[in-house]
Amino acid sequence: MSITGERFLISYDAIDQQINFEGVLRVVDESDLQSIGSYLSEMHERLDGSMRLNFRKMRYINASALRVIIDFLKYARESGKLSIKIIGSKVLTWEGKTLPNIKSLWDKIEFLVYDENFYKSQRIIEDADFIPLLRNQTRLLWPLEKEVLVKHGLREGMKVADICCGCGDFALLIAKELKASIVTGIDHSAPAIEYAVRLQNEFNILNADFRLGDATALIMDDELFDFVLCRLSLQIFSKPEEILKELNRILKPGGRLYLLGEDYDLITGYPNEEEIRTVYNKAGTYGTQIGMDLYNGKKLYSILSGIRMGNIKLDYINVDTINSDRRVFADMIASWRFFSAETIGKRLNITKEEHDELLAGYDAHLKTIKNRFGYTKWTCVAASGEKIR
Amino acid sequence: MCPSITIGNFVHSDAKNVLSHIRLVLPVNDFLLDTRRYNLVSNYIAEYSSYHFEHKDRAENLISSVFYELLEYLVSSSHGSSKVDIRFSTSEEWLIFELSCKISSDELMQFKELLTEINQKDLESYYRAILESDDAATSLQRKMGMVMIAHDYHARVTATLDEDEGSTFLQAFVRREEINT
Repeated sequence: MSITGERFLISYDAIDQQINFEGVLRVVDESDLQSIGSYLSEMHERLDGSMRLNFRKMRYINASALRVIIDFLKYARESGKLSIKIIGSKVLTWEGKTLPNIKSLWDKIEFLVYDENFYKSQRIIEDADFIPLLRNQTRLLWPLEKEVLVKHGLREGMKVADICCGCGDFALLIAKELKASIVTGIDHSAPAIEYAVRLQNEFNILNADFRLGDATALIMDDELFDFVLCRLSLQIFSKPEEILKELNRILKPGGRLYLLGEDYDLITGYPNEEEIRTVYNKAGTYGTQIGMDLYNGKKLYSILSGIRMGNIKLDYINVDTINSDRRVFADMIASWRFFSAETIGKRLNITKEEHDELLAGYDAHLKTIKNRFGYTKWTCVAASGEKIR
Repeated sequence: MCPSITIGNFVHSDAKNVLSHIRLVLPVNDFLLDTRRYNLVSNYIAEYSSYHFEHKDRAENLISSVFYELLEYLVSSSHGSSKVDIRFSTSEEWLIFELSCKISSDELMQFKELLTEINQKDLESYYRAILESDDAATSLQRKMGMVMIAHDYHARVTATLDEDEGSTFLQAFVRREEINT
């Protein structure tokens, strides 16, 4: 049940009783406008309870098409049969400007900004405060992960997408050092994208492009990229299958999808072994409570096989106190300490005792790092699969 | 009687300090023959200009959305044999959308009425009235895009019309801050 035009698709998703609008709905022809109106009315007749109108992937609309939607909403209002939910995204400017005004037509219309209401844990990692943590992680991972990327098939001249690119430093390193023809970085955080663009300009890197975007509704054509990365990000999505579908969609047949995940079960160290394990067990549990999966590294093989990727490769990346600068390692753990105890702790209203225990655990880990006889490691799992032709 | 009138008294003090500029002069008939060109040209100008902005995706979406409605309204009222002069520029504070072309005297009267309404009526209640109207008349349908631009994007819309020559010079000013709000 769908209706298509040259540049748009309007389809029905039965699971959510949702009409999905995609593409460019700039319609001039009167018969096309009438078809859209009839389609909406027919769907309205079939449904009970509520009906969602999802505009997250509707790049543009013109006033004539909007008029059809407004007329439909007035029809729904008169009928009184269904409540209406309008779903928009903050990524597309027109949606924030125009869709909220429609709400005033009828009190049974609910307006939801998808990005703000659907991700449990995303908000807290979108602050500019998070940028130093991301940068320290990149400092530690890049020297090791660069080789892994090559092993997993990233080659000079490829079109690369880094989805959930954060502040862009990893994407810029790929552009500079692995010489991709273009690296497109997408992130949902405006401060992170601003930061990425500033870095790009400062370093005069021409083969990179950063855009604000929603990873579960990418405004991109199908099969655009040779290599698609999503690093340390699947873990924050409560519904990772939604983002995987999009990552797969934008990947060319024969291209590779590369995922990097953490696994808090694999963080270890000595001395203070017990304190280190205790604090990451706690932090992992708190993460789970706010919708993060800090153990998803071990699941990446299953995830890639589940979406029918072929030729799966998997590598452990062990950042440790031998192959990395202890000071940078310590800075990263200090950022985790703050993030876990203050940001997540506040969100979960943990008790003072729990808060202090958490801080003490991270402090023990920091002692191990700073002890020149001490050893610790942070393990990430890199997995990639080939999109079957 | 003076044949040339200006509707809307918005004065932009910093418009002299134009930071970027693109101009296209195109045959009206091209648009009338294939209406997909409204979309094509709006997107072209928006994408071309977006690189001047930090939030280029949001800027591109805004520029294209505003241009589309202005272009569709004005060009569909124009003589097929004439040309439309399309300009987009930016200053420190404003995004400046400009269009000029020749339109028929009937269309000119309707356009004058619409601009007067946009500039003189309470925009909130006027917009609401258009949303609520069941009048399927073409004139009302056509008003919606222009009113939407003025209301949703807080655009200041002004025009200079020459009734004898039928020439129209339309300007819309949108504050840069609208890109991120």
